[in-house]
Amino acid sequence: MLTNEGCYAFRDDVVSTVLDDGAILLDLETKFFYELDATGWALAAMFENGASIQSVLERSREWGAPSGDEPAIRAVIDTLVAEKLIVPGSEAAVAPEVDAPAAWTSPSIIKQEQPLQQIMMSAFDPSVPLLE
Amino acid sequence: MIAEASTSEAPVESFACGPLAIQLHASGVLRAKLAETLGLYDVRWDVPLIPVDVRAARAQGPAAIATGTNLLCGRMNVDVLADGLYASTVSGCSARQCASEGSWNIEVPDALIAARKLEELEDILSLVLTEGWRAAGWVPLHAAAVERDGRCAIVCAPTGGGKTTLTASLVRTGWRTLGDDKLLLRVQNREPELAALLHTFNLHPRTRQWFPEVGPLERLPRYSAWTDKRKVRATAIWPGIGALRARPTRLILLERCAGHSQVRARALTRSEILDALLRQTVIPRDPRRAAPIVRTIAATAGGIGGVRLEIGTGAYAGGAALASIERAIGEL
Repeated sequence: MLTNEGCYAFRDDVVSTVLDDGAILLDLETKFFYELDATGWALAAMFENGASIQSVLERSREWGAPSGDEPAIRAVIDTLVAEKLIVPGSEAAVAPEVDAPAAWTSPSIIKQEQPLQQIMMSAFDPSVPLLE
Repeated sequence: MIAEASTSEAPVESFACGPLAIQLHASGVLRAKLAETLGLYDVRWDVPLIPVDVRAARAQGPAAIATGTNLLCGRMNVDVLADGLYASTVSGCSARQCASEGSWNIEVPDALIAARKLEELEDILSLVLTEGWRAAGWVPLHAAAVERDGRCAIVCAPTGGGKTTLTASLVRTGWRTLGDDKLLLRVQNREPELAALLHTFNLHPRTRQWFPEVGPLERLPRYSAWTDKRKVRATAIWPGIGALRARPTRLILLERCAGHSQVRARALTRSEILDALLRQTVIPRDPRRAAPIVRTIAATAGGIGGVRLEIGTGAYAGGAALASIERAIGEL
């Protein structure tokens, strides 16, 4: 269970790519990737420079999140923490400026079932190497 | 002692590999092996090429072992250093990039040169080329592509999964191809663009049963100890089929299936298209190198449709399969 204290930030080896309607996060350590809808990304983006859980919850209320969506918001943050996409930061929590989602919807994050390949055939070919 | 001239004395040979102009400084068997691989890139790009110096020579001592901070391959690890990459192979070859000078220095142990065991130079060259292509703004894609009348499909399948057979079957009916295995992809002004690198197909001798014009492929040498396939210049068999650039509109995810002779199609979600495309390229562990690759793939996935094609054994024996495939490419 999350506490509301402390500051979290993305690990250096998590790559975020913004899409028209959300974003994908790729963990370069595990090679799992995650799809976020627009609201999920608006929440997650606050951790790019470090933010506290509390400040993210407050910002979501300012954006018009109904109280009934708090479990979904916490579930997104829980996933980010549990998957170690965000880790405790050392600096004080100051939420960065992040654009509100165009229209608030209940946020989601989906983890792909299979990670991308960890060991490649070659620098060009992402196939799994054959046993030699 | 094997006579391999130092790189300062070695003859220089030039190779055009997509957007790169490789200046190869090597001699003897090293030159022969590297030239053989570089010479496969037979598509000439009509753009100013970016020069890359590649120097290969006998190793002066044991190679430092890379740990794979950037990439782990079957026979090679790659690390990130201050001015580029450093790679070492399981048999002791090494390659050090000097990115600020646009050069690579490859060292090969005496024993490998003497035994002519130089397969790992292919791994090193694939690193040299992919790093160069990425620096030029392109993402290497391990896929085939076919195009016709403004439609272009990226064809994805595992190695041996039928990319070449599908490509060959389509070019016989008027489609053109950008390649059956190696492509480059970029996004400019939000538009994805594919470019061809080579028009050489990797064909299995059994494909003659469907495409008699390929001839007795079994008489050609295998190009690798790990496959029965042969390298064949496709444009010599099917003249005029080579395409240079195209805007992808579809992704085809191929799956071979025993037990029927049909083609079964199912539309892919955007998430599935993204997943399929991400699995066709090597994503290094270095975030600075990975980020532009993921951006390009994500932007491409967001702008194209996709279909999963389950192709039954023997489907190519009848014309109905091709009609189904063309419908799948065109109607999504």
